[in-house]
Formats: sequence, C-alpha cells, structure tokens
Amino acid sequence: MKHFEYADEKITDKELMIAMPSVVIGVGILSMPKKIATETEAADGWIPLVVAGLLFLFMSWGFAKFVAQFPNQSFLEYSSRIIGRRASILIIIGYAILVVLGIASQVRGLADVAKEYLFDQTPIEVVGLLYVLLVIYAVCGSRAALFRMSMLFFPIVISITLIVLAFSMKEFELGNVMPAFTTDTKGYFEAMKSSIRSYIGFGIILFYMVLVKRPAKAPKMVAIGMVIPIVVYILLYVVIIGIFGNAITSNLIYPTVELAKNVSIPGEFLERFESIFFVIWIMATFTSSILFLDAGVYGLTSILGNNRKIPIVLILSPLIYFVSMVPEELQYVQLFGMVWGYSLLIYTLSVVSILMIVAKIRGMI
Amino acid sequence: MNFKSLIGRMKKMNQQQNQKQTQNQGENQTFNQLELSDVLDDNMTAIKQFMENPRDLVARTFQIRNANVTCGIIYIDGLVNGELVNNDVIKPVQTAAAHDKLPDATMAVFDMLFQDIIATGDVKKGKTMDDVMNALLSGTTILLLDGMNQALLIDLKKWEQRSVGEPVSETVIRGPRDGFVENLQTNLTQVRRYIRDVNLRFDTHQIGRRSKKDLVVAYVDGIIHPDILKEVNRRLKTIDMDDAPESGFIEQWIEDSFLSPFPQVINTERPDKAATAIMQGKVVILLDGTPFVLIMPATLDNALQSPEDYYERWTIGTLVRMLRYTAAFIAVFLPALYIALVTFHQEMIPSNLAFSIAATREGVPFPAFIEALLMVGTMELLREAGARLPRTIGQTIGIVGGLVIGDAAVQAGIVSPIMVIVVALNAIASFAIPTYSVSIAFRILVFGMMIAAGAFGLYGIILGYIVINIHLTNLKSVGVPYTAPFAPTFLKDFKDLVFRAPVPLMQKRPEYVKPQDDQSANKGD
Repeated sequence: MKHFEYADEKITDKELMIAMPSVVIGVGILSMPKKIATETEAADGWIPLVVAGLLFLFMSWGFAKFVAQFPNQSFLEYSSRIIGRRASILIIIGYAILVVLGIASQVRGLADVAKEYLFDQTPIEVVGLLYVLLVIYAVCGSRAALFRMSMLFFPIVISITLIVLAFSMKEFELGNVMPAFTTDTKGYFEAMKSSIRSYIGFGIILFYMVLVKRPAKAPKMVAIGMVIPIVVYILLYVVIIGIFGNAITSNLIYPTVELAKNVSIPGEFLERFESIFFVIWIMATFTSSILFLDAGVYGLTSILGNNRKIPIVLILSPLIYFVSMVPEELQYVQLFGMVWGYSLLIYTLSVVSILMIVAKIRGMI
Repeated sequence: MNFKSLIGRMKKMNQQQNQKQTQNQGENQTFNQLELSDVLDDNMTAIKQFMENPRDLVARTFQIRNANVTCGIIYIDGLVNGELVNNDVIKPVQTAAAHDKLPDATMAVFDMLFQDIIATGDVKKGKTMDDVMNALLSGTTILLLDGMNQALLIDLKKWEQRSVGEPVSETVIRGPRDGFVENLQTNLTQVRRYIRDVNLRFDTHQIGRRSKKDLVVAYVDGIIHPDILKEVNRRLKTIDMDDAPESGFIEQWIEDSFLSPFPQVINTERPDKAATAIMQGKVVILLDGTPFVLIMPATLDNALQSPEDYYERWTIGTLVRMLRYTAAFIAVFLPALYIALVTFHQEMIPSNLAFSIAATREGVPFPAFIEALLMVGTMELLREAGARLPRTIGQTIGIVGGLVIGDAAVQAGIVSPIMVIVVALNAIASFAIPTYSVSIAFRILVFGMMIAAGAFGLYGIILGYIVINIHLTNLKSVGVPYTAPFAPTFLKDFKDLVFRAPVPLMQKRPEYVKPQDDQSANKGD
C-alpha cells in the first residue's frame, strides 16, 4: 500500500547516512585493536586507522557520486548499459558469494565471542543458528524496515560505546600512549592492511542507490556516514592502548570486549559489564548482516526480474550457516575472515573501477 | 399485482438474502426499491407483517378532524419520546383542519403536514419500504397518509441511556471529567463541543448486514492527509458482517495486521483525547452503542502518552513520559532479566547481592524459569479474576491474591522473596502503561521473553528484543509506519515524544501523519 512518500520502500538521507556506519561496524571491531597493536608501537595504530578511514571515505564518496549519475536505475540496469548484461550478472553473483562468506564469518565471529564471554556450555552451532534465523526473519520483511531498524539500533550501539569509553577513562594512562610516531614504515603498512578490512562494506550503495530518494545528496550523506566508524574506531583504539598498553593489547583476542570487562559502573549494581556490552554489540553486527544480505538478495532478485526475495533468502541462509560452521579452530576463523575481507575489498574496487573506466571510455559520464 | 403477496415474497427473499453471504445485487435492488402503496391499510399491514407484529411496535390509525383523511402512525415503543409524538405529531395533525379547510388533493395535504403542521425539526420524506423500515428500527416515527405513497419520517428518538460520566478505563487527575457514552449522537455532540471548527466533518457509514448501525468517521478537513481518510473509508466499506456490537469488531476488521500483538488502532473513552487526535491530523471512528472510539493511525509512542501529559507543566509531562518508557521496558524485560541473571550469568550480579539471592533461593524447589513462570502466570490469573469479579467481591481477590503471591508463597518455600519483588515490579510497570490494549501486548511479550531468557540467557533476551524490533519496523497503521517518528525519523516530532516540549514551542502538528496544515500554534507576540 502506498500512502505516504516516506512509508514507501525508499531510503531517506538520514537513513542512508546511518546505514553506512551500521554496515561497516560489525563483529570485526571486537578483535581489530589486537591486529593493529601487533604491528605498531604505542598508540601509533591510530595513524593507519585514520589513513585507511580517509581513504575509504573518499572512495565511498566517489562511488556514490558515480552511482548517483544513474538515478532510479537498479545496479543491473546501469551496469548492463555500461558493460553488458552478462558481465553484470556475473558481478552480482560474485557479490552474492561474497555476501554469503561475509555473513558466515560474522556469524562465526559472533558465536565465538558469545562462547568466550556469555556461555561456555551452549554449543556455537546453536548460537549461530539462532542468529541466522533472526537474519532470515528480518530480511524476509520489508526492505525499508531494515533501514528503520538501523536507525533504531544505531543510537543504542553508539551509547553503549560511549558509556564504555567514559567509564574506562579513569584507568587511562598517558604513558601507554606515548611515545608517538615510533613505528617503522613496514609496521604502518602491515597495520594498514588490518585497518582497511575494518572499513569495508560500503559496496551496498552499488545496489541500494536506486532506492535513495535524493541521489544528488547521496555522496555527501555517505561521506558523513563514513566519518562515524572512523571516529569510533580511533576512540576505541586509543583508549584501549591507553588502558592496557600496546603489549597486553596485542595478546588479547578481543581487546574491545576486554575493555568493557574493565569498566566498573559507579554504584556497582552490575558486574561483568562486558556481557551487556557484547549483547548490545550483537545489534551492531545484526544491522551489518541484514544490510549485507539484503543488498545481495536485491541484486539476485533483479536478475530473476521479480520481486520475490523470500526464496532467495531461504536458499542463501542455509549456505551461510554451513559455511560459518566449517572452520574448526580460531586461527582458521580469523584466516577465513581475512581472506573474505581482502576478496571483498579487491572485488569492490575492481568492479567499480571497471565500471567507471568503461563508462568513461563510452562517454556515459 | 397484489401488494400484500409482493410484501410476503419480499420478506422471504430478504431473509434468504441475509442468510447468504453474497448478496445478489439484482434482487436486493428490487427489495430496496419496493415502493410504498397508496393504500394506508396495505402499508400498515406490510410493516407489521415484516416484523411479525412485535410487542413494542405501536401502530395506530387516526382521523384528521373535520376532514375525511385517515392517517397512520408507527413507531417502536421505547425508542421514541411518546410525549413528543402525542404533542408534536398526533395532536397537531388531528386538529389540522380545525381552522382552515384542508386541500382536496392528498398530495397537498401531505405537503401541508410536512411544511406546516408537524412541529419537529428533523422530518424527512420516505418513498420505499427500505427507507421506512430502516428509519423505524433506528427509532424514527413514521407517519403515513391514506392515498399517499410516501411516508413522513419524524425523528423523535429518545431512549434510556447512561448519563455522561467520568470514563472508568482512563482516569486523569487533571483534565475534563466527561467520557463518551453508548449513544452516538451524544458522542458526536461531545466531539463537536471540543472542536468548534467549521471544517469538522462527520462521514457516516452503515455497518452490519442485519443490524444496521451508524458509524461516523470524524476528522477535520484541511488538517488530515487525504490518503489516510481515503484508506480508512475504503477499509470501512469492506466491512461485511451481521452486526458490530462494539468498536472492537471494527478495529479488528480494518487493522493492518491481525497477527501482531500490538494494537494498530488506539481506543479511548475520553473526548478530549479523541479531539486532540483529530486536531493532530488523525481520524476518529465512532460507533453507535459503545463508548469506545477508535483513533487511527496509531504509532507505538501513542500508547505511552496520556492526555494529562499536556495538561500538567512540561517538566512533569516529560518526566512522566520517561518514567513510562522505563516502565515499558520493565514490563517486558524484567522477569526475563532476572531469569537470565540467576540462571546463566550469576557472575554479573554484584557478589553481595548474589549471596543474598542465593540464600533466599535456598530450598526453592524450582529453577528460576519455572519460578518466574508460576508467579507471572498467577499474576495474570489475579488480574483477569479481578477484572471479571463483581465490584463488591472484587476486593477479596486483592487480599487473597496479595497473600497468595506474596507472603504465603514465600513462606511455603515455593518462590523466593526476590521473585515476588520482580513480579510485583513487573505488574506495576505494566499497569503504568496508559493504553490498556498495549499493556496487554506487553504482557504477552513477557512470556516470550521469559522463554528466550530461560533458554539462552542474555543472548536470548537480545534476540527477543531484535525480533520485536523487526516486527515493529515492518508494522504499519493505515500505511503509517508503527515506529514513526523514531524510525522513519522525524526530528521535529521529537519535541512531543519522550520529551514533551513547553507548549509555546510545540508549534507543529506531528509530521508523521503529514497534516496538510502543519502549524498548530504560532510564536505569539
């Protein structure tokens, strides 16, 4: 039923802006500081975080700018005009595969953290299954609802982050952060690789741009949205290093959760704050998963030329679940996540650059 | 063609039609258009025969004095004001020819009665049997004239009704004391008294295939978004049932999703609440025979608002709203949190508290989940029993219940004292929700959350919370997203959401219903 413009399946400026941090901030942030701390000295890790962040900010702005030149066209429509229908279908299928792998790695990461901090008895298979079922339920619903959900969850996620940061501040030691700029170039380079993986996810704009109500404003909104994860990451990273010091951080598996563990709420009515933190962080992961999956499903439905997304969701989600349970040990899970991260990065970059170059040659932009 | 046999046939046909779900359009039309005969006796007999001459039907004929004209009057005893029928209809008609000679033509006499003689405001002419029957059943007095194939429908309705009193289901400390009653006309008057705007509109529908009840859609033209109005009217037109005894039937027929535990229509007994909704750009649906009127579209935040928030000063309004939002969370999540903490995450409870909880749980034979289920279940039983009992013995349930779920249960060692506190807090919080229908929805969710917490602890609770959110974001009320103005976000509406801004600052009507005229107040100089 179409009654009000805002109730349609359209994405408003605000929703697009919030969708960016929602999709970028996921389960990766829980372990990210460890990887960066291993490669850098003191709190120097903020430099690769900022550099990578700015890089992605400009890239996402550029992508949005490029895609916004084809207003009211789905990805299949505009990419078919640029590189032909067959190639476009291949691109979409490639994206769908990456989506399956990506959500699988999220599910697994989440289940592992839950096992570590929430319950040691319940098998991760059950934890993962419940999460996947929830993702199915969400994605089977209306598309606008997914963006609304991001809008609802985002303030909660940001609040819990700020609470954790604020209440850990009293243990912050400046000595842990200093001295600055002591890392060598190789360290920065290695840390960049880990930082970059924390920012991927903006590829969804390739598919969602057709739904954006005002495409002309989209690049600006996407860029503003990308600022949020940069700020969150840097704050978290610097505070974690300031509290634990570089050496300890690089030995913690999930430094961000450990940070929450360190928090003592005044009045002490709750202990073990990390359980609350992690449980609320599930919302952040969840919005990331649903937007990812739905973007993939949206691409696939456009190939089939109908609007029935439920069958596709029901085909993809068992795949997600099985893939997520394949790696047996933590190191494989991390390897899996790393491989996925790089492939999505390479994929997004190559797809967009191919599209851009071909469009340029053909004089379409 | 014999008129009487036609009536008999029509009556049979009418009964058959009512039994059939699908009405045959053609046959129905012949019945509706069956015209009155110009023989008075035929008409009187036909009407009596239609209803099989019930006890409360009054039908008599009388003569106009000094003229050879017979009249018939028919009404249902108890639905009309008999005194007025005598004084304003029968007496003037009988004496119509006392001063002037009546005209010869029956048509002219009829017109004279209509224009001149009958001293009542609302008089209409009826031509068909259907007009007459519907009017008669809704309490109109029918005046027939021999030799005339039309009837005068004289509105002298009056019946016993409850006087306007304070609404029982929604009380306020400060605010108007009047509530809606069972009479549609009185309710419309009340709305009209609150909104003295020439653009206030009352669209009328007739609901019910057998019992034709009036239903009025009230709104202010120029504020309401036409799409909302069109959609509400469209849905009302699809209603096809025998009878709608209460507005709940209407609500359940026109709501967007009947699978949802959340009401997508708000009901109220308070005219001031209905009037405020109308002025905000919403539709109010009033049904004859019930004091509960419906407000559409509804959003979740409507459920946590009370008219009194606006009557008291803004600081109080704001604080009370925050309290209610907290209450909503306690009402849904508290028992679940208790279960999760006691069963799965004991380490999260500060050690001193953990020890005292453990000490009180000593000897309790059930796991926390069963304990909570027992207590919350008992609470529901108490609530239901308290609501159904006659008022005189209603207090008993309070005393007995207080003992059962309080002291006795603890002393018997069935539940722990902390559990009693949790359940009591939970119940109090759910009673702090001003909208009863939403409060019930929360009571349902409590059980779902408890099961989730009993199975998966905090993880279960957060998944449950996400499920509720998925459901809410997909839900709509007359096309308006149920989670508006949170998401889709209308920052301007945040002035009247968890916060209630000072009155001079609330200059706009809520944006999420897209009112055509969005300015509700000006700056004022």
